[in-house]
Amino acid sequence: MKIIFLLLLGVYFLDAQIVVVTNKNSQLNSIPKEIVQYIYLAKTDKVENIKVKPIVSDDKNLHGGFCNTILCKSESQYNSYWARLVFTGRKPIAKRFGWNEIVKKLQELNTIAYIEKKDLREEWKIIYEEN
Amino acid sequence: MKIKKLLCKIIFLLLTSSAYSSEFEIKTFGTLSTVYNDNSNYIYRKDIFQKDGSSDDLSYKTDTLIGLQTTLKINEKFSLLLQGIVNNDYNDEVKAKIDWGYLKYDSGENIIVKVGRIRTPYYKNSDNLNVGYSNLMIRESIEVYGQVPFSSYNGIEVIYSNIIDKYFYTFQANYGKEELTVPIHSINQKANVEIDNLYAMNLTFGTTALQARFTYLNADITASSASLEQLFGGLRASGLNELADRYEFKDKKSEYMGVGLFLDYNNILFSTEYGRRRISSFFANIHGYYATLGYSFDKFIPFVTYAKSKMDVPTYDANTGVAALDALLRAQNLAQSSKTVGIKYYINENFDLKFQYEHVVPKGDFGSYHLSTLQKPQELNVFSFALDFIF
Repeated sequence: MKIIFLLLLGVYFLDAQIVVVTNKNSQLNSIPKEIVQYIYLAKTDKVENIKVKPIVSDDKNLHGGFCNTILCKSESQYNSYWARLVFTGRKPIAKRFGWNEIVKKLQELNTIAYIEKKDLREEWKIIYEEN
Repeated sequence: MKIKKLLCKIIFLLLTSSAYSSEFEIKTFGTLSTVYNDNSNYIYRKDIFQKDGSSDDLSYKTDTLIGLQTTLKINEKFSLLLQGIVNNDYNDEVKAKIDWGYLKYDSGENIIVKVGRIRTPYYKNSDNLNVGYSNLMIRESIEVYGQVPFSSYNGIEVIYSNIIDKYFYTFQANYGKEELTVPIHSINQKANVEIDNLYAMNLTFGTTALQARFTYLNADITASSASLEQLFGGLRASGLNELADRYEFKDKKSEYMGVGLFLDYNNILFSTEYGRRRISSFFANIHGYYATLGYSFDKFIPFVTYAKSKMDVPTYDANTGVAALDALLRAQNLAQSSKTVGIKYYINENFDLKFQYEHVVPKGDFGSYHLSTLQKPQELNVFSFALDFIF
């Protein structure tokens, strides 16, 4: 029983490939991993002179996976990092959005969000995908 | 005073011109902690501003504090920020104080300008020293973080940051002044300290995983009190001008230089900083470093730290021929080393729990950051627990 559970868990994580997307009509086409990290760690909000708006998901599994695979940080490290930004007056706390709000936000050009690849829609395009 | 008046005028103009577009936010942070030091001959404390701490008993005063941060967003570019804390002060009383507060201009194009009361950028965690949730350890290594006894100043800060290829850099320049009271508990005195012409530069560069940091500060500092005036006045009256010139802390050019290296990559955490204080007065020159290594097992982050501080010239064998001056010089000995092992447990987005054990070895007679009347140093074993929160 335990083995079946672990296998199912493994299949779930294999399937849950996280990608970074934007609106299909955006001028953004591809972003290097380092720049995705800089955007989500508030070190820049521009890519090739285009101002981008990063969206943070309120889905804990998705967010944890994004922190681990793309930001290369544990969720606790990510939260400590943001606490530092917020309580030193550098940045306001990043608001987290549910799926419907993310869909709505991605109607705006140059808004970027991380999603599970299986949830990709026609009106979006992938700008970063982990190999 | 001119800076304060100018700041008030700017704030008034901005508030009146954008009264209908402002947003207001309040956030809180804090730490509940208890500390036990097993050596009754020492009072273990967080920094030199504390009078009381643990001395073979539980102390709830060492790290416990509560803080409040308010942000008034005036418009897209201007905001007003204020942070205050309540904790145990150097008179052993629980007091509220404004830690920092400034008018911030964010160009949205790489430049940030702050005017008001600003944190002095000595160390990597200078800005967030009181926000335990954002730090790995319960308190930073005093061997580096305890070298300079003031943490904020009144003035201006300009920050420029950008990205070149896959690397980021941030350049920070500061100018201002500060006045404060520094207690010298070991000889039961207080000094009024005036800091003028404070210039600071700070460069941080690297990637999100690996960063390096360089800091340089320069200021003209004067420390005075009735007993200091009496001591150095007496030396001059006795014709000991050379001795008075050498040790009197009057308009002395003072420097601090620091370097640091920080790694935060795939669960591995490493940080190290080296700091060096140079002040040609009785407030003796010192240098020190720490190195911390941690590993993040999801919610658990165990860590180890080694830290050491050393006086450039030992003060404990001071023999100037003037007993009062010798006593003052001996009290400046802050040489020590410490080994710390601990763990941070991340509970959720609002709370964490920490435990750490620290073994402190003071070096030299009359030594250590921690209060004692002993001439010969003794070792300390210190156990600390903390619950940090942010809302």
